[in-house]
Amino acid sequence: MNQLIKAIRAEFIRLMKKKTTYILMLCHIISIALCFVPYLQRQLRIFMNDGFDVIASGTNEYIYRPFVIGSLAGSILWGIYVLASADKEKKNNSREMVSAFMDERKHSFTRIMAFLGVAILDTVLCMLVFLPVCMKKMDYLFQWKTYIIYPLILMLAGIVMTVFLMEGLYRLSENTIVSLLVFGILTAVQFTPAFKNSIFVRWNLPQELPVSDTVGSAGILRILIYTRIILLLCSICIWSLASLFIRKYQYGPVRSFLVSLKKPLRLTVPVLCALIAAFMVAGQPFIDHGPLVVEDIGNVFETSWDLAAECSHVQRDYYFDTVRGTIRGTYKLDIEETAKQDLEIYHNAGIKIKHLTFNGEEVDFTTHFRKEDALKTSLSDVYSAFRLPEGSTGELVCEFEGYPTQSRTNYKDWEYSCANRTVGPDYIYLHADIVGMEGVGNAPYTSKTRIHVPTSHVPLADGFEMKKVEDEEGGITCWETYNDYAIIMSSPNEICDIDYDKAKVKLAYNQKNGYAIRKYKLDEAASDVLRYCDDHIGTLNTDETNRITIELVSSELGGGYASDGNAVIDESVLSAENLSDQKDGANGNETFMHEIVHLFLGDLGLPFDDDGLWSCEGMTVYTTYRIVKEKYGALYAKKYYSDVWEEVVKKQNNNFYLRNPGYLDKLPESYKNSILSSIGTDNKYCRMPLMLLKAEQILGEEKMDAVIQELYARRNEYYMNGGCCTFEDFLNAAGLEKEDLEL
Amino acid sequence: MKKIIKYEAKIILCKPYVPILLLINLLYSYYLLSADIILGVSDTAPFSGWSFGKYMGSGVLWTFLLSLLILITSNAGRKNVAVLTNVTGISPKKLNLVRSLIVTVFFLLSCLLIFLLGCVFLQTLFQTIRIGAYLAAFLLTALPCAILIIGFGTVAGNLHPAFGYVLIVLLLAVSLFAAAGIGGGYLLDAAGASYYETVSGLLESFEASETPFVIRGGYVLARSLYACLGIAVFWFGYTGSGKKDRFLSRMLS
Repeated sequence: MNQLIKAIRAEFIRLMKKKTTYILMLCHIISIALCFVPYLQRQLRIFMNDGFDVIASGTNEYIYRPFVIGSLAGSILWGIYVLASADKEKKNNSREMVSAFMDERKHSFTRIMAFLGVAILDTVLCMLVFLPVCMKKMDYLFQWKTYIIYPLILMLAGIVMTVFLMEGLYRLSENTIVSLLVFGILTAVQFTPAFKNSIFVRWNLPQELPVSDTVGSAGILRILIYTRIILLLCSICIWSLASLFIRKYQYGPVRSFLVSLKKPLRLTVPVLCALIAAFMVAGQPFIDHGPLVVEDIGNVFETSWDLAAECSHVQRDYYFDTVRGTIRGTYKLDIEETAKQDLEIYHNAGIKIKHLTFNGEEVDFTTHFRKEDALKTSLSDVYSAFRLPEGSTGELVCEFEGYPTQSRTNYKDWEYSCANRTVGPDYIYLHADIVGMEGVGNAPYTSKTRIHVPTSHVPLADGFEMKKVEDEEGGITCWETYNDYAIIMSSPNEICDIDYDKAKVKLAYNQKNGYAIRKYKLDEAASDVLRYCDDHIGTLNTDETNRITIELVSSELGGGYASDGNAVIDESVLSAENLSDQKDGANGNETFMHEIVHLFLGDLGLPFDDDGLWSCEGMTVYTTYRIVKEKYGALYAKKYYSDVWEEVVKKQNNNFYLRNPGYLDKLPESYKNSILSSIGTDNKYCRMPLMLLKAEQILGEEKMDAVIQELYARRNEYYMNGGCCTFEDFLNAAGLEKEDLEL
Repeated sequence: MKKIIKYEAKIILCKPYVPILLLINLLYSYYLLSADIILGVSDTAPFSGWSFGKYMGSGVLWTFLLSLLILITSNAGRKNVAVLTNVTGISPKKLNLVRSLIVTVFFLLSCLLIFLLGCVFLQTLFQTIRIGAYLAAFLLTALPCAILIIGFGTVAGNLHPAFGYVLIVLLLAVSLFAAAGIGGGYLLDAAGASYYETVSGLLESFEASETPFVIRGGYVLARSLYACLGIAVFWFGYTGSGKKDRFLSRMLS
């Protein structure tokens, strides 16, 4: 052992005395520095986000992405150095000398340890060099915790994997070209569309996941740490296996391996590493391990909650382990009469029902994935089925616990996201599919929901404030609401009133964003949009409490939506780039406006038919264009809105499969769906706004406003009749023919 | 001579990474067809000459680089045995030519495999292929590279392997830049793949009609220049190769 430590020390000192080591460190620092050059920063942003120039959070821009690039650059630089250094020993015949007093396997290990020491030094140096830059750029959003964690798990882990991998590849092949080729292939494979979304393949160029500036993104951190551990285990497995092939007695690789196997204990490390990695992949808690579902975005959050039982009272209690990210709780139902014997409770696949009792007696249940109709399967949903005597009355108590997962389908196709289900110390965001979170049956019943969150949190249920009940032990506070709800968002929130005289509009945001809200007067901007819509569309629809909340959530959400009196927008609209950049196209500020406009146009205001072209999105995009035109001028609106729509529509008209629909049927289903989905998105976000613009050019702005106002005024009529605003309604109101708007 | 060819073919091609990389190249070609070409290049039909040209060019580029790599690695270490090979009945320049011809045949056969894969894929999926346009694309992308391989093969033995690696990286960089429309565009592209994407994009009329497949004179000229470069290197190598080896062998003896 002493000899091993001495050898590691000697190897480390040898490396530190080499000029090459310092040149590589300098190259590494330069490669990271390039990520801060504005032009390259934009190009990298586009590259890392599948061609979209989406400004994410400051953490993504100044910490995550530079250190991901640092991981790739460091991996290439140190990988080649490890290889060159190993090959040099072979070329100058010093291997024979070394192996005379030390086992080659041990020598390989000492080299790895020495390189790891250098890699740690290199990482610390890079972090020190970029610390002042990041502190300045991130300003009041800079967090030490974030700055230390991400470089370590993204960059250092990537370099460590490379050192193990390259040493292993060289010991296996004894050939620099083969080692370099395999390294090149393993690196290049990450750039291919087939694997770029696979977090288990992105070893030295991790995916860019949206990370929050304010709330730490605990869910993403967990998945990153988990996958990096798996990849590290794989690289250790490769090295330890390859070290068994180290040539002995001038034998070839196979005979040397057989000689090494005379000590079978040497297989312990590779087998153990492979087994642990395999178990970790197979049992990862982040996905549902369910069937792959044909993706239908419309159904992602659509769940069935009908218990087929009459209840008089429902009570839910949710407790959170913010470190592990788990939820536990109870779900109590006072059942008055069951309509049928076989009952089902729908819940997230990661949540396991621990006990189900009826009137104090255990009830047997079985949990199943919903496979009956793949197209209608709600993602990441399971149901637990049980049987009660028909017409029975009593208290059903369900105790559950687990880590909320997301669908395997999403995981495969969209890359990992914690957008809808995350539990962390600074942020809890849960969607409808946790046990019992939405309503039960159709009969009237009373409902009480209690959530137990860290004391610093101010939770919102569907955007509405909850009632504080009591402070509990361990820095936990209990909050209560008497409504059924779909979304819980709990964080150290501040809530302020928006100046709008026709309804109580509130803006909820994380305390850390308070500075930006006040500096950039976003409350006033929201008020401006509301007033514009008031003047040009109509009065805002609210519920019986006449309240609406605009909620700023973690940038993990990536966009926004509006529903149930609640406009949800991700906090990246508050990033310094988004707030200061008004020349660089339709940016996050305008997303902010877009989502507020949805309060008027969409499920909360005027309901729209969605026929693949005519939709609330198209009308909202057009309205945002009008606001932007009024705010920033016609030239800006033309450049970043109407010109973009025209370009997309022109491309769409020329699309081969649109010109020749017959060939679409010849394509495999997945390609067909992908093309149709892309056409659908372009239709809603570009073709329809362009058609509305054409209508505006025919009618004039004032008449166009009058048409929209007329349609908006019919919203209650639509609600009463269960209808929605169709393209025909618009044409009739405008006095236009379909042909007039053809593009 | 037959024995020498068989022996050299065995030495050059029977290396574990050759079939592995060839297989990877074929898988990549299939992936390209099923993920990229299937959608059509610049809104042309997936079975148009444009789409096939882009597919063929991309496949040829990687095969070309693989062939250069094989040439470089097969020459590494040969200097140690130059003393022996130089005194055999066959002259070093002929031996170099044999080696480069073997690699060129390997390259052309690999390209033919990629070509057939593309034809079978498109015929199976769309029941339509345009063989004339495909052949034109095949010849324009693969032939100049084949001539370059012959030329490079005749001089590779006298070059430092590092030069070969730098050349590969340079060719790859130029081709990737050409695909991104940077630098000389398709005029510098080693396999000429970017021509099909760039020019079809330029000719796209946006009038809901198919872009006609045309081969521009400039492209033919660029490909001919590549071929001429190969011939020039071959001429230089064939007339000059071996001198250094003979000089070395005299010195060593």
